[in-house]
Amino acid sequence: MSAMNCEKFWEFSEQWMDGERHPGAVSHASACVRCKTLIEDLESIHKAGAALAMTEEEPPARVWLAIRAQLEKERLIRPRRTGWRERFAAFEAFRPALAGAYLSLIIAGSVALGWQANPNHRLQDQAEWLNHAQATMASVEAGFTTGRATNVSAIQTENSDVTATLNKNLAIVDNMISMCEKSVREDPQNEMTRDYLYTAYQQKADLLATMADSEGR
Amino acid sequence: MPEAEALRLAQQGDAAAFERIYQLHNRRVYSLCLRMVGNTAEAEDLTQEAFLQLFRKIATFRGESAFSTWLHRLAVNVVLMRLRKKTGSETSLEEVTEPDEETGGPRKDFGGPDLGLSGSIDRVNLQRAIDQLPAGYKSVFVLHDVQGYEHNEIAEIMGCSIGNSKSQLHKARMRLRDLLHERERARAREEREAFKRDEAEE
Repeated sequence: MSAMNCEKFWEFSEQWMDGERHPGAVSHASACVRCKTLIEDLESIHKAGAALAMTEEEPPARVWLAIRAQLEKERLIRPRRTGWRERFAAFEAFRPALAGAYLSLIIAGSVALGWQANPNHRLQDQAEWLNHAQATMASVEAGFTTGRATNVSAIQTENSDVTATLNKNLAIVDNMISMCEKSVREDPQNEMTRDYLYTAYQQKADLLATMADSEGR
Repeated sequence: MPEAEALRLAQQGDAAAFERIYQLHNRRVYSLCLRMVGNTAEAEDLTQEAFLQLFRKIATFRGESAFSTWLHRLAVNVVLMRLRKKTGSETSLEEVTEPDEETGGPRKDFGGPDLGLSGSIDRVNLQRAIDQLPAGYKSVFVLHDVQGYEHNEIAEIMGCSIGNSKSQLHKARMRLRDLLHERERARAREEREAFKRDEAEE
């Protein structure tokens, strides 16, 4: 059995990490601290990489919203007709994630949005629904802004990157809301546009809650 | 709805089937993008782009390879295109970056550190080091060590040989080791300097 030096061992380290155990390499690794450390480091990196997978994250809901909007624009998918019950179920699931101080405002929002879930109101009150929803979202935002004013300077210094990203996302959602509101005004009976608007409101409430949470830390 | 059924319906343009496919794979694709670019806003954008490309091409999927492999090949290509755009590199998609020592390859320093990294690799340090890897190394490391793909799958995704995938992975780990050691040394240096400053003030 020929003795292996460090240079040879380093060349062999790739096969070692692949599970091959050359007797000369085993012998060298047991005697050489540096090469033994090299293998330990490579194994630690491999394990640390696998640990990163444990923290797989879900993309925010707005990603699917944007994909769906684009697919519909390109006419790649058929529009889906869903009941309000399903949409409100999603809203219920969203509630626990909200920051406490804003929860009541968001619930008020759901009540306002729920206005049109009532079939007695549907046809005659389409325009009123939009006004109602807009007013409620404004009050949610006002509540958030008031709470935010107290600690905004601290956030800007401690967490400016996150705040900047959230603000950027908020601007995107606001833009989406404006477009949806315009479409709803133009065609108040189109369920699809109202669905988009509803989801956009939901996104905004989600973002405001995230901002409230991040600023509360 | 099982994936096979979702695929069949999506090929006919069924919205619910598209959503099901997205739900089944979004975490893996988003995580891949996030690990590759290290930035949530960009990862969201890339996830969106990968799924849009997928849905645009879904009618052409014939099942010759596993659907997840097909999707991941597409996602990796979307990420690599973006990284390439950023760095201005003109390399083809099939080419896996082979950097030399000056451009980010591992150092062959046989007299290197004998103090191990064990215990000092946390998520943040590792992600920062991954961010510094060249695109080819990064892709293979993320696919193999983070996402758990086998070399034959990576070879299919990246359009390279199995041997090439193995070699790139090893070089990526070696380079990560260098970067993590550099970070450890910098941290130790800062601590020493802070200690000296404290002593001088006393």
